[in-house]
Amino acid sequence: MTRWFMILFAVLAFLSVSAPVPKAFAEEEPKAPPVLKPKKAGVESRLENVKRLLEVSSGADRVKASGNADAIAKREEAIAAMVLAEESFKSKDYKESNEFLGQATTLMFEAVRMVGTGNVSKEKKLDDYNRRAASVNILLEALERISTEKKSGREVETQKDAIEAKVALSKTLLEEEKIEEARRELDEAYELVKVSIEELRGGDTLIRSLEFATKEEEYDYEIDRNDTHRMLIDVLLKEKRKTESIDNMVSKFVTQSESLRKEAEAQAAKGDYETAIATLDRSTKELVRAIRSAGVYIPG
Amino acid sequence: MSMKMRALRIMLMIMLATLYGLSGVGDLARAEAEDSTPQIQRAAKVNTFNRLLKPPSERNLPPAEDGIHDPTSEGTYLLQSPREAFDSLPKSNSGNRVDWVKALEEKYIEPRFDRFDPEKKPMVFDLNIVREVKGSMPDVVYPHKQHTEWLDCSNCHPAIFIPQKGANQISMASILMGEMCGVCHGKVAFPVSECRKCHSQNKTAEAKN
Amino acid sequence: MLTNPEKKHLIASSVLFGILSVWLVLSSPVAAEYADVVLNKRAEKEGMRPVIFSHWFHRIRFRCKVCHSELAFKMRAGANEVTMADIIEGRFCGMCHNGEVAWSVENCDLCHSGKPGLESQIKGSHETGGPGIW
Repeated sequence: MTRWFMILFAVLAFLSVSAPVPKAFAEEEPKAPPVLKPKKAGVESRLENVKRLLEVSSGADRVKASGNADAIAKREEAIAAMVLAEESFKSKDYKESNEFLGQATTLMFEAVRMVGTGNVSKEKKLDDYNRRAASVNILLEALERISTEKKSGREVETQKDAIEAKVALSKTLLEEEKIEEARRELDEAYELVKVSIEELRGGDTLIRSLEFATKEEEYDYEIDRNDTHRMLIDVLLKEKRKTESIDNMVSKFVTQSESLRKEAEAQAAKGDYETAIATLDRSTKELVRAIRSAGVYIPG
Repeated sequence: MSMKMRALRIMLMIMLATLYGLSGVGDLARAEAEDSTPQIQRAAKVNTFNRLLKPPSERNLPPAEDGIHDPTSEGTYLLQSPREAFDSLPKSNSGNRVDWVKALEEKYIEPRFDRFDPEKKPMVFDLNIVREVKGSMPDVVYPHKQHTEWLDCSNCHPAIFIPQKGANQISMASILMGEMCGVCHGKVAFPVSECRKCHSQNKTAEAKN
Repeated sequence: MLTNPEKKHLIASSVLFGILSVWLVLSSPVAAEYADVVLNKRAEKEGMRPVIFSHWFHRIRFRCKVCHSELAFKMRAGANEVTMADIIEGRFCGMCHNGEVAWSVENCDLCHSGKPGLESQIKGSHETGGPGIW
């Protein structure tokens, strides 16, 4: 049994140090577009790929179902080119085979483009429109708030009116099913609102201070802080905990922290948030200790 | 050493060996033919691996060795190796190990802001939001400036953040779950293990109490 | 040279090693570049390798906004419905990969370059357990 493992290990060890690295290939600068060297394996794989493109791809389905005679004829041309490619491959002329495959692909792309709308589906366009509209609206709201805050006066009012007019026009166009025009107006509104906000807010620093309306709110914050540190242990120490001594130390602090957390939860359940906050803080400190004990210095 | 422990160790070694030698899977026959190095010596090489720290040699591997690209596909070898692309870029301690913000600021890279127009410049918005936090943990400074270099307002507002004071309940826990800042940080932007990059404003002495 | 029983062991261990390698490759995100995205909603079902999208490669050339606003890619792995026909017709990736802004998509293997069996997800970062993944 032991010998079995030793041999296995020996083979593995040998393989690992002797594994050839395809350096020359790996460091080759790809020119645009990277060109496949017509070697047997590459051409063989491309044959398979092109066959799928011609027979089963989403493009092939679309052409077959289209009833468009030109597109179907184009696909037939593509298939003919692929047949030639197969023949060249069989007679070991990989260069020629590769060229036919290139032709087949280009012909098939043409066929697909013939039946395609060349456009994004209506649903996607509408989805994109709605998301952009949501941005414009929320930025307009922000502009209004900033303008009030800064008492910016007439100039911004004029800008806002212009933006709102564009948004309104865009809505009308959308109702008339003119989605492209609607989007164009919306994008213009978007650019304008961006510029207006930048003019007012550029160079500012806003401070979101830490204030809690109630002790319960502060307790929720502490719970989140505790969860965060618990998750950080997984993120930061996953590798380090593979060392037994480190893992033991980390586990000790984590256990300590968990019992404090339970204590805090019990205190909160009784409505004593103030004590619960203090206990949670201690629990979080244990987690910080755990992280530091493994050699990752985090502030806390 | 118990049998179970031994089996565990061997499993671990297999994993390490596999990490080193993914591309050697098909070479067993060759291994059999050439394998004449004493076993101890061979083991020593594997044991230099430090499993606590990924050595630089294992970062930014070329596509064929990165564990997700298929090394049996020729196309994989036409792709650029990240290591080669990152060579001249400013370094960082996490993520791709590239400091992308610095790379952009100092023009190591010049990514386009518009699909077609290489001259178009972003509308950079210089607004800092400071969020106070508890404890001795430094307060968070969110700079719109660096973010608007890469992104448009509509990328975040309102889907991720409502642009209004007090309207966003942000917590580290939600960030770690991939929400709020975590939509990007921890996935494409620097990971949250870089505490100090956001918690960057030290508290004044009186505020600490 | 190896003795006969040793050869048997070697074969057995090779098999074990093979199984383990496959398991490891399928289960381990070890070396994937930070922020690489695996797209495999359809690819493998339709017989192609999964697609690997490299954020690092693209962000050297374009700011996030270009794809996440102009091209309207939602910022959630798995949230975008992209078909090959879309790309050929000039949507999504096809808005740039059309031979004008970037190379056209004739060479399937450049994008369909992932190992079989990969799940759609964003790679290389800390594991997020929440809805942020989808």
